[in-house]
Formats: sequence, structure tokens, C-alpha cells
Amino acid sequence: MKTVKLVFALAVIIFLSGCWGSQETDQTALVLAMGFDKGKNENVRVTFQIANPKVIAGAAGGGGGGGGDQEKPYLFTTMDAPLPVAAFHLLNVVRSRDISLLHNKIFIFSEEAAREGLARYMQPLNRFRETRGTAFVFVCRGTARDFMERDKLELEVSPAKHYEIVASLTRLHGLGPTAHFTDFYESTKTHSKEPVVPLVGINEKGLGAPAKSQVDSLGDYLAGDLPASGVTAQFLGTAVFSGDKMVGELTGDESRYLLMLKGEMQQSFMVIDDPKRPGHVIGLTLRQARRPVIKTSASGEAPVIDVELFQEPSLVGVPSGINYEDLKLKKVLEKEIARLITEKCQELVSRSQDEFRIDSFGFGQYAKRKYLTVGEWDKYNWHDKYPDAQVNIKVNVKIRRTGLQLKTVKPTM
Amino acid sequence: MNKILPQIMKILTYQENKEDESFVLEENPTEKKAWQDSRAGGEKDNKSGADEEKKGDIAEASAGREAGEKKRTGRRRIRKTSPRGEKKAAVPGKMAQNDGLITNDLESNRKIIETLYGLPVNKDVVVREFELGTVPGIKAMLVFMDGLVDKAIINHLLQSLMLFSGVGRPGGRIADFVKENLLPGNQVQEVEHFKDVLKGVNSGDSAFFFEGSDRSLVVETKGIEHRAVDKPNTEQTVRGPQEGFGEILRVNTALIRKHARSGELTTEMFTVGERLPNDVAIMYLRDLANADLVKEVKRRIKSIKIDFMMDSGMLEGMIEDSPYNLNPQTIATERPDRVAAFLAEGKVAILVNGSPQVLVVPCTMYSQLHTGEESYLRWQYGTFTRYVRLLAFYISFLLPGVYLSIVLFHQEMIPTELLLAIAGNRERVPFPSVVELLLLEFSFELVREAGVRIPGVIGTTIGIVGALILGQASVQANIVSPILVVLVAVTGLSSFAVPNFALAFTLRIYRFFYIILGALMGFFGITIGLFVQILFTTNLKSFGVPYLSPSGPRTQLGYDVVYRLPLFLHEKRPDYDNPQDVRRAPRISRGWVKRGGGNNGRSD
Amino acid sequence: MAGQIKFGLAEAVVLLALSNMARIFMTFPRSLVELAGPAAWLTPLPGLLLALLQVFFIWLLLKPHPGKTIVEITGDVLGQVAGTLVNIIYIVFFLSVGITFTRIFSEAMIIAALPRTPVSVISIGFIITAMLGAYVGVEALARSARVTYPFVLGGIVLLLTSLYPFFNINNIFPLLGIGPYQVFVQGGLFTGVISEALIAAVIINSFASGKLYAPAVARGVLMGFAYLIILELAFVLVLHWRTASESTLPFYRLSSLIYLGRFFQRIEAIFIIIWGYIVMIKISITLYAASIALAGTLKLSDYRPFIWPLGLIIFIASLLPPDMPSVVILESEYLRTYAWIPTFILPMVVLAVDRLRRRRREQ
Repeated sequence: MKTVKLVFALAVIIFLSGCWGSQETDQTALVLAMGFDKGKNENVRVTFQIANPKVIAGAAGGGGGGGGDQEKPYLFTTMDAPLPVAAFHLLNVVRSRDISLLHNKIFIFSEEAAREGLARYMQPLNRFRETRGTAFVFVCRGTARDFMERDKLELEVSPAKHYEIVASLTRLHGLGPTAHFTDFYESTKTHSKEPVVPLVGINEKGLGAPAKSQVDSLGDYLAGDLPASGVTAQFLGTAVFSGDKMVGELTGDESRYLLMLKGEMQQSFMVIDDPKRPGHVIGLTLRQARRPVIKTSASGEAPVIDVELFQEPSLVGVPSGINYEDLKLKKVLEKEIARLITEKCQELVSRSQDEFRIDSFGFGQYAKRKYLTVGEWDKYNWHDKYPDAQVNIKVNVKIRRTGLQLKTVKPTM
Repeated sequence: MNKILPQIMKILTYQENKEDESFVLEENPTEKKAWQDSRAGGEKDNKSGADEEKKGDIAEASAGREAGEKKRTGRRRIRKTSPRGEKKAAVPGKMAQNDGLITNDLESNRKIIETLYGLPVNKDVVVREFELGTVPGIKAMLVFMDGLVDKAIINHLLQSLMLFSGVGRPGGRIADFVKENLLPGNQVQEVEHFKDVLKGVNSGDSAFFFEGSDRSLVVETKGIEHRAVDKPNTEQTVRGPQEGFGEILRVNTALIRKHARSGELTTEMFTVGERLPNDVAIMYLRDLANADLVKEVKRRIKSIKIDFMMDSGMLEGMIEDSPYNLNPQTIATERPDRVAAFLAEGKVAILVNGSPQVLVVPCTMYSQLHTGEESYLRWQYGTFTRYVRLLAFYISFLLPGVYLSIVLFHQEMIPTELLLAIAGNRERVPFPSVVELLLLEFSFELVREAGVRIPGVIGTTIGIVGALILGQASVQANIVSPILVVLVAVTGLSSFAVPNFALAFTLRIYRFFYIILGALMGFFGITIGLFVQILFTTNLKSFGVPYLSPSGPRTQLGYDVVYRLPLFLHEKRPDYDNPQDVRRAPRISRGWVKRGGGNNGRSD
Repeated sequence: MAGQIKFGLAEAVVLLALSNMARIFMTFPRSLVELAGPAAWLTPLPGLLLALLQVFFIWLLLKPHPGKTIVEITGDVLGQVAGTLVNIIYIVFFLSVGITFTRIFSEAMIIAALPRTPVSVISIGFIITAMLGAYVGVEALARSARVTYPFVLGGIVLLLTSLYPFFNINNIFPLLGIGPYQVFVQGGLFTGVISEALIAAVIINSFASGKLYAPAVARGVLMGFAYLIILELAFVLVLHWRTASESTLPFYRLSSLIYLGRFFQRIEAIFIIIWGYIVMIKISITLYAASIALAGTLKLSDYRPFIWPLGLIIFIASLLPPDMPSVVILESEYLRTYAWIPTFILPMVVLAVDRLRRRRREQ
């Protein structure tokens, strides 16, 4: 009994002397998204989007919030500091609460900062315990602060949910990659693959933005350029990195082919010129049948890379009224699609070789299979060899499904 | 002057109020003397004796103080002057004359009975004198306890002895003659000690004394008023027998025997309790239960020295292996079919007269999570319920602690929106999470405790009070957050889903440990708790059987532990019970499956 | 006292396997990646051979002396002075394993779960559980290990299945990593040193039968190495070896990467329970082994009086190193190197002396 009493007394003492390091939710401010810009005097300008749980819970509970109607579910704070984590700690001076990054799911870097190199931002974040490795990374055209403040969340209450869903939507449109923080961080450290990050931007011109020809393309825009009503955020295109430095931008269409070559494209919409009746378009939903087969021979001066893609489009719209469901015509269409994809992929590859001079596709990962030890592979120096590589692309297209129609009957005149 | 100061002191200081003591139990002078004698006899080296001495000194002093004022007789305190274990001390010393033997003389027997029961004062005992209808008549006396006997039987007995006994008086012993020829009672016992007479009469039998016979006949006439066999109150089932044990030992043994019809089923009786003796029975299958186990159970029960033994719960406390461990180490059940099933596994049942709960030993934690109903259900349903119960088992002690660890230490674990919902709801709550949770948990325990005590008529209101006041109102008053109400409700439900009452109690207590650990150190605290709990639980044994068998020490797992596979796969009895015969059924227990085996090996 | 408690093969195997697994959850896999690069998962293969060799030699030593622990055998064979000396080396080895594990895991707990808790509090937590575990005895430890093993297994299966989408088969190339010498020789030496063979030889009287030693330890070691290989493989598959070699706690890093939709992510806290539990078992069993070895050296029948002082020694010594990196260096460079002396060389010496003496006696 004595021991029980002793333990109890000890427990009470421990209990009353305060809990070690516990964080009550009502003393914590949760950062949901962080934006990084270049600040003045070599500083980092960090924008924090902080959740206001009162409003979020109130909204979720159907107006139980009382006086919270005028409050926004989140608020912004921007500060300059030499390190992102330093800014984070400085934030405790500004805001009344213990700031927590545990639920920070979004990192948005401005294009300017990205072009200078992100290592100074990433390195401390990777070390910091609270950083979520699964957070999403975006690169923003313009300043991150501007973007975050002008990105209106209309359907969502919580910005975290908003960005998270947006990032996952790429499996539906395929017009931009997704990047988790850890993936991105890892890619900056290796030579066999280079990071690619989705591009975001604000559409300022509304419908007034110049529209491009819609033949053979659909999303041939960078984020923010797509004509659409309202001043809204757009998630379209790719920022290409070499190491931690951003070297270029890919439009939505190019992003689709990038994803295709990486084997990450799950579904995408595509519009092509009607091969039988030029001037008309055909709408297709592309689906990856299986991951691409990539073979490399990386022994000589110029590596040879053979890529074989497998796509299974299904027909969505055939305005020309030609009966592509017919087996022979289907072959024609398949051939045309294959030709187009090959051509576009080739274009993209040569752009990466000539303009960016980096291997964003991760071909190097296949090349290194031929090597037995790390030393030999490092000696081969893939980074320098890649721009000279010969890339052969073969596309297999098989239209599996034609939607609800098995046949197109010509309209009677 | 020197009188004022004490007066002031008297006002200021605390004085014991002596007038207020209207009734104090004091030792009477004879006892004091007996005690002084025993002290003179000397057992000073004994430590407990020394303790008593000290107490005695105080009592003596106070007794001396008020010796003249109050002279009381009445309560007799038997001191442990004689060495423990001598049965004689239990029977009042007045019987010591004649060694407690029945005499030939009816009148002196009557005297003795009167002294033993304190008769003119004690109104429960009836002494009926009559004459046997033999020629010549024999004076006889009937002693019974009013209220414990069946009056119809008594009348019938008297009738046959007084009226239908018109035969000549034989030469042999009267008691034998009456027993063999005259007395129509179904259980008649010839006794020669008053001790046995008392035992019988106290439990509702009737004793006949005859002039000139030094034997008494104790006839079974029990007719104690008791509850009829009813549905079990705490272990209800949907499917399966709906009978529960009652308070009468014999009814209970009969109920078990009703389900276990075997000549091998053995009932052994013991008497436990020194001042108020009570019957304790153990039941087991002679050819199945491990002989050592039976011996150990008997050894433990026989060795108990206790004042009185009211319920099997008290017996449990006296025979369990580790009284300081939280986990219950016997199964207490109300259902005869369950007991019968346990007996068929080679376990031993312990019944206490007056207790509707029967103990079954040895037990494992897994059998405490079973209800027996799973065997009556189809195996898929049985397995499903068991998994639900397993989940309830974990939730009932872990959930609040885990919630606290997550909210206080591991906020990254839960989805952002959920955390924001929790945080938003907690914004207006002025307490820390721990206090909030403990508040609600204690309120829930209050509802639970009050629900048991509240008189049945207003019992239904407790639901409304619990649900509305505690749930709705406390949320609206910003004392607790709504999510916590849900959490505590789920925890409460889970603890009710744990079938064994004692185990559910254990888990309720464990829950508070986990709340404290979780609030202090998050999941690390929970891990410490789990480690310690598992360690102590695996270290536990119930009558020599490891508590977590068959997985604690890995033995033959069987098909009836966590999941329950089809009945025809249960070929073996649990081998941790070490029954004399492990095999329960042949390898093919459904004879019809085998081609040509339709009659299942029967020759007829 | 020690003679009564017995447990069977299943318990012994799981107990030793869990004890062996404990190192997976600390910085050990990272050191392997640093050593061997993408071929880190191959290093346990030669290590396994070496470990089995240790088991074999200790088994050879134990076989002619049924019913005796290695401590008693050492005392008998080497005589009082030398035997006691060797036994003290064993005890010091157990203690230093206990010390490094306590410290590293206290630090790991701070990094992973409780960033604001003082290290001494967590060490106290570990030590109290270890003392309790050692006090209750190895039987209860083995049983509780056996009871919780399904949960550990379930946790690891959950981890592996939810990490499956993140596996990148390209990450294990180049196949031989930094080089065959690093992978097979250095890696083998690095992974091959285990304390379980010696621990089992100390607690052999608690086994249901002395014959269980070889099968129990060999299976336990096999299981431990299988988990090491699988988790190391998962580690290398998920993270490129360059970033893998950066992370302090690989297992924690892995579990924090899980992302299966918006609901199911960041479940590393659940794994804190699993590895915390395994480490508690590990420290308990080392403390138990140290106490019972000390009791055996001093020819005492009860080991329990030693639990408190030895536990205190572990606790205090675990707080001595100034920081986490120095403990890691202490562990991976000194302990793992010098551990060959008690686990391999000393039993071999005792074995040789024993054999020689017997031969001489026979002649």
C-alpha cells in the first residue's frame, strides 16, 4: 500500500507541476500554408497563413459560431528573417499563440526565389521536426504573398484542404506534376532525377487573356494565363529545376508529356486535329495503360535511351461526325494520336536537353542500373552526358473505349 | 488570578465533548479479566499479541474511568486466546458439558437446546413436544427454525409420527426404528452431536428428539423463501438458455446439473465462516478436471478462516492468487449453461450459498471476454461479436488517454480539419484538456454509480439527466467540448460492451492511469502504461494457469480464443487447464460427412 | 528463484528477435546506408552468417555443461580470478548496451515525439520500465513479448503496405552500392555483432530446456535479421540513399512519409508505441542479463538486489555523454567494434581452454 501511495503522490506532483511540453490546442496557432519570397537585405520574406479554428469549427457546425460571421477562417502574417525557421520563431512575437508548423501542408515559393536557389529555404525546414515531409510544394508566378492573399477559397473553409485537393487533382487533368516536400528535397540532392514542381499563378486578366488556338493542344498555358472568368488562382504547368535552382517553365501541355514520360500521368484530356477532316477537333481522355518501359545504354559518350509509352485513350467528343468506332478508322486515329504524342514528347525532350540541360524525366535512374557501384556511376557523370543523349520514343496507342457511343451515324441533311 | 488563565485556555483550546457519547461499546469487566488472565499466561513475544495489548491498555483505562457509571452486558467478544483453528471455539462454550453429545434424557436435551438458542428470548426457534403414536407412546420433541422450514412438510411429518404410527413399540433403538419405519422424510440423518443438530436446524432442517434415545434425527424440511429462477440480470443473451442462478445453493447445483447430466459431476460441500457458517460447494467432473487443480481449490477453501462468508465475491477475494493485481482472476457468472460448459473444459465451479454468482476457476482473460453466447450463434456471428468486443476492450481503457496524447503531443497525427474542429470547439472551454476530460469522465462515472443506486421507479430519469444535463448543457455552458462528449460516450459504451463486469471495472480504473500518462508524456506515456500493464498481466496466474493463456505462454491455440471457428473444429479442450482428457471430439465430429459414417459410430 | 521460471521456444524466439530488432529503430539503418549506399540492405546477409557463427560457438561452449549458464561455465573453466574478470567484462558489456540504448532512445523520443520534455524524464521512464521488467523476470518479459508480437508485426506490415506506393525500385541501384568491400566485409562486421547470443547464454536456465538454446537463438537472430533486411530495403527503396543517410531516425522518417489520401497520413506517432515498446523490452532484458550475470558471478541465488544499483548505473551513465551525435559515435564506432570481444573472442577463448582441459583430462 505504501508504494501505491508513494506512486500516487509522485503522480500528483508530476501532474501538478505541469505537463512537459504539451501543447493545448487553444494555445496553439496552426500554420496551414507558408509562402516564401525574396526579402530585403538578403532576408527571407515568409508569409504564414494561420488557421482561425473558431471560425472553421463554427462554419462546420452550421453557424454555431455566434459573432464569428465577419471573421475570416484564416489570417496572414508576413515577416522578414534570415531563415524561414527564424521567421517562424519571430512569429511568436507577433501572434498571441504558440505557432505550430505541424499542420503546414503547403510551401509556396515565388519564382524569383526559386530561380536563385531554394537550398537556403529547404535545408532548415528539412531539419525542423515539425515540417511535414508530405507537404506539397508549389512555385508561384509573381510573389507568394500576393498569390496567397488573392487566392480566394470559395468552396473550402480551410486552405490546407484547398491546396491539398488541388494538388491531388492532377491525377484528373495531368496538366501539372505534384511534389511532396520530401520528394522535392530528395530530387535536389541527386543527379539521376531532377525536381519538377507545379506552377501556380493568379489570373488577373479574366476572360480577356489572349486565347490560343485550340487545335492539337488544350492547356498550352502557364498558370495565370488561361482565360477564365474572375480573378482566380490557377494551377497549371511545371517549374523545372536543376538542383535547387529553377531553370524554366513548362506549359500545361508540356507538363502532360513530362508526366507521361515519367510514368506519372494517370488521366488527361487532350484535343487533336481530326485526321480525316482537318479543322475539326477530336476530344480524348488519355489514360496510361502501364508504366513506360525505359531502356538505356549508358556506356559510351552519348547515352541512348529507348522509351516505350502505353496509352489508352477513350473518345470523348468527335464533332466531325466521322465514325471512328469503325475498326479501320480507329487504327487511323490511333496512329495519329501516337504520332502526335511522339512528336510532342520528342519536342519536350529536346527542349530539356538543349534549353534546360537537365534530366527532369529521371532517365538517369534507369541508366544507373547498369552500374554496380556508386563510384562508377558518379564517374560516368550523367548530368553532363544527358544533354547529348539520343532519346527514342515509341508510343503504343490503343483506343479501348469509345464512351457511350459505339457508332457515329452521319446526320441526315 | 491563577484561575482565570485556565478558564481562558479552556475557552480557546479544544475540549473533547464527553457528554455527547450516548452509546459506547465497552468491554465488560469479565472479559477484561479473561484478557488479563491470558496476558498473565503470556504470549508477549507474539507481535500481534503486543498490538492487542496496547489497544487493551487504552480500552482498560477508559473502561476503568467509566466503570462505575455504566454496567452493560450484551455483546460478547471472543478473543483469540485459544490457538487458531480449533473448531471448538466457534461453538459456544456452554455445550462443552457432556462433550456436546445428545443425552438419553429428553428433558435435559430440551434444556440444552434452550440454552444453545437462548430460548425464551429467541423467538425464531420452535420446540414442539409431542408423543409418538406407537403403543406405548414415546415422548418426542421437534425443533425447527420458524420461517426456514416448509410448514406443510412439518405438518405431514407430525401427522405420520403422531397418527399413522399405530404399531407396537419394537425393542431396538428408537431412532433407528423411527427412521426406518415411521418418518416419511426423504433425507433423514442420524446425529449424535448437538453441533450437527444446530447446523441442520440453522439451515432449515428439523430435528427430532426421542425420550430414551441419544440420537437425534435431522430431517430435511428446507422451505426457505427465495427468489424463483429468473433471467440472469447482468449476463443477458439473445440466444441460448435464459435461466440464471438464484440465492439457494441447492437450486444452483441443480441448475448446473440440469445442463451437465453426468454421474461424473461431483459436488463437494464445505462450510466456511466461523461465526456465521455458510455452505460452499465445488463442482467438477471427476474424470476430467485435473486432480491437482481440484485439490488446490479444496485446499484454499478449507484453509479460509473468516467471520462470515456472504457472497462468492468475498470468497473470490480470499482464494485469488494475486489480490493486488487489478485484473479479476476468477470468472463470476450467473448462467448455469456457461458453468456447465466450463465444467466440460475441466474447470472447477465454486458455489456459495446465498450468492447468485458462481465462480469458475481457473480463468483466462480470453474467457472473460467470452459470453458463451458465441457458441450458440453461428460461428461467423460469434467471431464478429468477438472482434467487436475486442475493439471495445481496447477502446474502453485506451481511447481517452490516446485522445489526450494526440491533442496535447501528437497533433500532426490527425487530419487537419479534424484538429481544427477539435481546436475550434475547445476555444471557448476554459479548462486544459486533461481537466476537461477528467471532469467528463468523473461525471460519467457518477452517472454510472448513481444509476445503480437510484430507485427503480425514477431509474429511467438518470438517462435523461446523464444525456441532457451532462451532454447538452455542459457543452452549451462551454464546460466541455462536444467532441469530448462523443469520446466519453463511446468509451462508456465500450466498457459496457465488455461482457465481464469485473473486467470492465478493471478497465475503467486502468483508463484513469492512461489519462494521466497520456497527458504527461503522450504516446511515450501510453507505451509505458502498456508495457507495465502487459507485464503484470502476463505475470498473473489464476490457479496456476497463466492469465493470458493460450497466447501468453504460447500453447495449443485452439479455435475458440479470439475468433471462433466452426464447432466441429473444436476438437480439443484448452490444454492450459491440463484436463485429464484433452480430446473433446474425434477428428471427424460430424459423422454424416464421412461416407457411410451416418450413424456416427453407434452400433445400434 | 531463477530455476522456477521457464518458457518455451516460441517465447524465447520472439523475445530474442524483438531484442535484436531494437537497433532497427535507432540510427543504425542510417549508419548502414552511410556505409554501403544503396546496397545497405545487403549488409545484414554476411552479418547474419557472423551472428550465426557466434551462436554456434557459444552453443559449443554450453553443450557439454547442461544446466549451467555461460557465467558459471566461465567461472569453472577459467578459475576464480580470470573467470570473474571475464564475467565482469560481460556485465560491463550488457550495461554499456543498456546505457547506449537508453540514451539514444531517450534522445530519439525527444526528436520524434516529445520535443519539449527533458531528457532525464524520458530516461527515467525507460529505466523504471526496465527495472520493473527485470524485477518481474524474464518469463513475464518473454510472455509479454510473445503477446505483443502480433501487434508489432501488424504495425510493420501496415508500415510496409502504406509505404508501397512510395517504393522506387530504381533507388536500390547501383546494386553493389559503394563497393563490395564496404558492403560485405565492413557491413558484415558492422551488422554481425549481436548481444542476443550472449544474453541467451546467460538466461539459459530460464528456457524450458537447455537444448532450446541453439534453435531459439538461431531463429531469433534469423527473425531479427529478416526484419532488418526488409526494413532496410524499404528504407532504401523509399528514400534515395543520399537523403537517407541524412535522417537521424530512419524508421521515424519512413513512417512520417506515409501519405495515402488526406485522412491517412503522418501516422508515425503510432509507431512510437511500437518502437518504444521494443526498446523497453530490450533495456529490460539487458538489465536482467546484467543482474543475473552479476548474481551468477558472485554465486548468489537471487538477482533482484542488483536491479536497483545496476539500473541506477545505467540511468546515470546514460546521461553522461554530452549530446546525441557523440552517443551515436560511441555506439557505432566504439561499442560495435569492442563488442566483438565479449560476444565472440572471450567465448572462443573459454571454449578453447575448456576443450584443452577436457582433452588433457581424458588423456
